[in-house]
Amino acid sequence: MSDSRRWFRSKSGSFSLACLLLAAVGAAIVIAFAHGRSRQRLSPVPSSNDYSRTDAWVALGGAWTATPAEIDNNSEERGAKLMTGLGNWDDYQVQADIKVADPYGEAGLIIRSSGEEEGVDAYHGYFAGVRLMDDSVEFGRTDFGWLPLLHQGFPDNGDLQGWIHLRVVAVGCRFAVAVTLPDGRTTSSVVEDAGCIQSGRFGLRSSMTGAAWRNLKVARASAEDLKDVETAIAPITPNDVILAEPFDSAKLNHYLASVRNEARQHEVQPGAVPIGEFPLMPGRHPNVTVEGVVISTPPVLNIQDETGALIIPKVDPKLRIKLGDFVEAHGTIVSDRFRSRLDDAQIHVLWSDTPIPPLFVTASQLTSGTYRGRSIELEGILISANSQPGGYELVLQDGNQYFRATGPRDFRLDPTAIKPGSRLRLRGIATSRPEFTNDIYPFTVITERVDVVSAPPWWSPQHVILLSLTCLGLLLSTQLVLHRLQRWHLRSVLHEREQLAFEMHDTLAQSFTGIAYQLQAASIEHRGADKVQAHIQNALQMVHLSHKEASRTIAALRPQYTDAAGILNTLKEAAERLSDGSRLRITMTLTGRSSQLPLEVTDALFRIGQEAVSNAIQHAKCSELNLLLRVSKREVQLSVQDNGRGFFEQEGAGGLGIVGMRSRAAKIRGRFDLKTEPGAGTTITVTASLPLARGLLYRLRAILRRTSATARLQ
Amino acid sequence: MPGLKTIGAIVATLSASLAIGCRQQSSTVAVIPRTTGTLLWEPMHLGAAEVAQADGLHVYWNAPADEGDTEKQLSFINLSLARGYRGLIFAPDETLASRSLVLQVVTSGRPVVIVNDQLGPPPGPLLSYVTNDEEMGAKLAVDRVAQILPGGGSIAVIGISPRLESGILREESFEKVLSSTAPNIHIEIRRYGDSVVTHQQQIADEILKRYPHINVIVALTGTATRGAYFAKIAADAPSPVKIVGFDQDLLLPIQLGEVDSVVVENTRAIGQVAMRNLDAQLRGEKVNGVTLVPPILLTQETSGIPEINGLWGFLHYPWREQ
Repeated sequence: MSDSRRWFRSKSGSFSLACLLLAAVGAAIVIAFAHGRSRQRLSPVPSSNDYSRTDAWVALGGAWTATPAEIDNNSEERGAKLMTGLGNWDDYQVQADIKVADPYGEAGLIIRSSGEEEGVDAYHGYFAGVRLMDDSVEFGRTDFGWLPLLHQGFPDNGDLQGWIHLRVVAVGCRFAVAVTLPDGRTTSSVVEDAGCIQSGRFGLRSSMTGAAWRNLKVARASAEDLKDVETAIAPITPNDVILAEPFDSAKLNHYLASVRNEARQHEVQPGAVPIGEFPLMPGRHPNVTVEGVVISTPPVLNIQDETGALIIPKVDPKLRIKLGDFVEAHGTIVSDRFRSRLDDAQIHVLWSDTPIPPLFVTASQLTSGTYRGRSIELEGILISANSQPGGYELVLQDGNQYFRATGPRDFRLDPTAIKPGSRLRLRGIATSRPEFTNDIYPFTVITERVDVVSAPPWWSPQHVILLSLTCLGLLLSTQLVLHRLQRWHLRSVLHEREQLAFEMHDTLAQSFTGIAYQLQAASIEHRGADKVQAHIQNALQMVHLSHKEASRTIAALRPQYTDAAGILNTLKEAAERLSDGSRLRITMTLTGRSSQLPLEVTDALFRIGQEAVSNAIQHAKCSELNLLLRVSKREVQLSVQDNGRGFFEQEGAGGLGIVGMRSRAAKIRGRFDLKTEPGAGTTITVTASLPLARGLLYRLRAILRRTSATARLQ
Repeated sequence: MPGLKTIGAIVATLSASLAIGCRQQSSTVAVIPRTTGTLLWEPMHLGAAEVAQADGLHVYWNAPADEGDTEKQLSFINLSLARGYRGLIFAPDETLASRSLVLQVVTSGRPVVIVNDQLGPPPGPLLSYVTNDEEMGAKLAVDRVAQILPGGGSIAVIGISPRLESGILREESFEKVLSSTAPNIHIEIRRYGDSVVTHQQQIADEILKRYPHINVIVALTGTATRGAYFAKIAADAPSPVKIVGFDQDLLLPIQLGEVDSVVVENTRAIGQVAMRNLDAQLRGEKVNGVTLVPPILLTQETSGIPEINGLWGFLHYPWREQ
């Protein structure tokens, strides 16, 4: 049988093969799962209720809010995205009504997207956008770089200030884009992208404008849906798609008008007055113009300039305003108890994205009223969190102060999901107005932003109890295992002692019995001195034999062989003792490295070799004894060869310790071979496998033992 | 001792195996401009991607949505480090704020090419600079202003960027060349600029209304140029003031003559040179410490020349291959 077949059939080979097969099956399962996940179908279709859940979306830039009716972005950031977390799909369609707020911006739908990050074109997917600057729709692909695939103008004189319906269909590598204007006119096109992105999620995107989306619908799509919107394949030429710079003269006028509208939106009116002048001037001050940055949005609009802050309690609900907007406000300032408010306000946004860095304060400092109405930041430990219609309410503690915080729902963080005991950082404005504090709390923070500074400490009473119980369990388990190990060790020692006792009974005890018998016979012998001498000689012979057996037993108790060469040396010594000065020629041959061998292998080889040597000397009456040990990487083989009288194999198979030798070989999963013939000597060979890892570990342990023993000696 | 040798060999083999297995070298380099999706920076994207593709490198391209968001820009560099990208091409938004992180990237053994700024540390085996030739750009602008005002006149300079060394260099170069080339043209007004268009519009609007004797507004950044343009078109009455700007932003106002001219950075060439530098540094080769790339003057007459049209090739580039 070849070595490889032998290995496969051995237990270690079978085990390794089984592990490999299991690993292959596991890998196949993982690959199939990952592939199946990437091809997940549209199931189930999100309902309209899903879109208003904050956990259904991931915001990447922008200032997104949602009601059951619509989703809004109140930021003019370029490339603000809101991506659904509801799944991935391949062939599907998305449609929504979209209202674009500013004359020089675009808003639309993303489809088949993945790998999104914050950034203007930072995703892999497709985008269809309605562009107000040149009355068009543009569809293209982005891979962190925009490649327009379709650019189509709307019908002339279309009113783009209302809700525009946009529908995007993706089937295979064909995409259809259909736009329905507020007046009912439609424009649509189909385009193909060879080597397209096959699947992904959908989202909303806007650039350089705020926008609103409503009636969002997602459904499976098929070739039939493409046919519905297919009116013509729109060829792409470079002139069609030069950013927002149309060369068509009809569109040119519209584009210029968009630019002029954008420019006029931010014109400045002269005559603004510092806000800080008014807290010290009680009364009403009509016809005042102030400028400042929005630091909180309705329900409490608050603006701040270099000198102070001002509340604007009532604003036009149609006014689109957001944090960081720099505004001009005109109206009547009412100054009362060091608080100023602006009544009959007319507000004009000058520019955006100019946030005022907040002041970091403590709750105690806020109770003094110094920072009332200003943009602040403070930290506190969360006591409780509750949802409210359209927002949330938090109760926090900072030192001796308990205070309240409220804010609108947003897509960045769900405060009601934060665990009590967490340390939070709030940014917003603090107010002591009774309608916010309920006359219970010293102030309420109208929160713009909530960040978790640290989670609740792990050392809660429940966790301490759990840890204690776990440690106790571990301790008990360890004790149990140790106890079991000790018992097992004791059993092994007792078993070994039992074996030795049997051996000593079989050998030494028998010998002493025989010696006692001979001596007793000598004492009562009356047949003459010769007979007495014979008994004494027999007794002496038995003493010699017993001495040899005792030496052998002692040698077995104290193994002095740790490696292959040690086995041979020890066997040679045993042979010399047994031969007791007779002319026995002993040769030793070691082939391969004299490396460390596993303990059970060396012990078995020694005992088999010892038995074989004993048989060769005592029974075979040999004059030559060859001890051969061959060590290879995976195998060790010991042969004891004599030139004694040999025997018929079948006759000796059950005796002479051969059964014991076979048994010892089987215990180490080795092979025992006996070759003998009358007059041709005897060769006993035992071959044992050496598993590589066990060999390495054994060598390492032996090296460490030697090293520590050397260190102790030093 | 043979035993110790065996242990040492085993440990060394295991360590080498772990090192080889764990450290898979990325073939991606990061290119972080001041922002993306504009006429100024997308040509650089194109130039970098073209050279990267030829050299077998992949490009990670991203930046804040708006110029001026320094913290966000630096977070992209941290992201690149965390992802193990092999090198960095970076156009800082603010000189001082960017210094520490760039040095951190260099000391981590990754080459860095700084675009359009003199960050401070001298060039070296892992740090090089590729920048718009501000002195040549200033000369182009001065020559154009001198052409507009052959008999002399008054100008306003807006959009001076104190947070960028290259911005200061641009302004200093302009004034130096102006004083030597056209001493009869006077700078009456100087204004710092930021990255907010409407703020620049407000500044330009104030100049147009309060200083009617100003003949030309020289806007030193793309944002200031757009702000000046917006102020001019939002005014009730047409203004005779000419605008000479820097850094391409909108093309149509130039084609219509509402903006007289813009000194355009050849950011496509800048991207190409920067990527070549980075690739050479990755291979351990020496590169020029500082490379200047000449700008181009964009006017109504030159808007169709090949050097200008070549900048807009990014509109048709297959970005899926970057």
